Amino acid sequence: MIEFIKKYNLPLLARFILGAVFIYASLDKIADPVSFSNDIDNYHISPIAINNLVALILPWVELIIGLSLITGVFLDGASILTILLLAFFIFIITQAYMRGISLHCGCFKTGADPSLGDLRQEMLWRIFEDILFLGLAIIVYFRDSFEDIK
Amino acid sequence: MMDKTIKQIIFILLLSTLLGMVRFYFLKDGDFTIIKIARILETTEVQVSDSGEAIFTIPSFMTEPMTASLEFTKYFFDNKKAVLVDAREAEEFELGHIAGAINIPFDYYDEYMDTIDALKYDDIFIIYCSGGECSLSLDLADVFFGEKAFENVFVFEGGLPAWEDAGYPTE
Repeated sequence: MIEFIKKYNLPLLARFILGAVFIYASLDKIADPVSFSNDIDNYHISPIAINNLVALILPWVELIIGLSLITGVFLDGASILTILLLAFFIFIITQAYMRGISLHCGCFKTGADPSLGDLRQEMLWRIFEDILFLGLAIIVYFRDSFEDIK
Repeated sequence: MMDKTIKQIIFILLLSTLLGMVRFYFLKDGDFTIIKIARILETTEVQVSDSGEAIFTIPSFMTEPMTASLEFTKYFFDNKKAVLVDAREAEEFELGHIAGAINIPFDYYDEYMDTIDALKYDDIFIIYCSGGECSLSLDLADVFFGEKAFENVFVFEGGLPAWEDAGYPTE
């Protein structure tokens, strides 16, 4: 596994994949914070009062993280934030799923995307996707450790 | 090393907050405030007849959707004067819904435009979803009232759970 990671320079590949994903995920939300705030409401996990503020700031965090991952500037801080964000996303989608709430996650696009089938399937898919991304983010954070292993 | 990482995280968060505020400044939406205010819909009034029966009337002019109580919804259900609209997904609707309700899932309402356009704008619409934590009915009510200019739009906030708890007809 370590050989595989080193041979294909997986940390660098992971940085580009995550960077692209986070930049893409941020654009629609930056353009339409109103719809994104409504998506956040549907999770029923945060006080309504803060949801507009989260809808304004979170997409920019995603954009800056994405740019940092690709350029390598502030890489340690960006990779820690990526891990924390993905763990948080997995938690909030999972809790909503388990409480029987059907929602559009607002992960990439604000509003529902009919091409994704029903909402509960989409939620499961997003959880799976975020777990994969979390694995990549952990590889990015521990990138130097892989180099040290002979 | 850790100090450097923490400083980077703080910098990213501060920069994001600053950019978020700049975005807010340029956002052309008067209803969007930094501190979000929960929407509270006005509730319909009840009158009591001489025989002691509750009589529900529709306001002559509504400025936004109003809430409908369980009693209000049952009153119009019994009198067959209202169109009950289930705003949940089709799969959930198939599993059970208020008897006679039609299904227009809010998340895909664009696909149901033919159904919506076939409705009469001056009918009474009572929209519901899964109660308590569900906002689909309110969202669809905004479409009915704001986008389609339907005149009498109500949100039954108790939704299907309140209806079932009362033992009222479902199918």
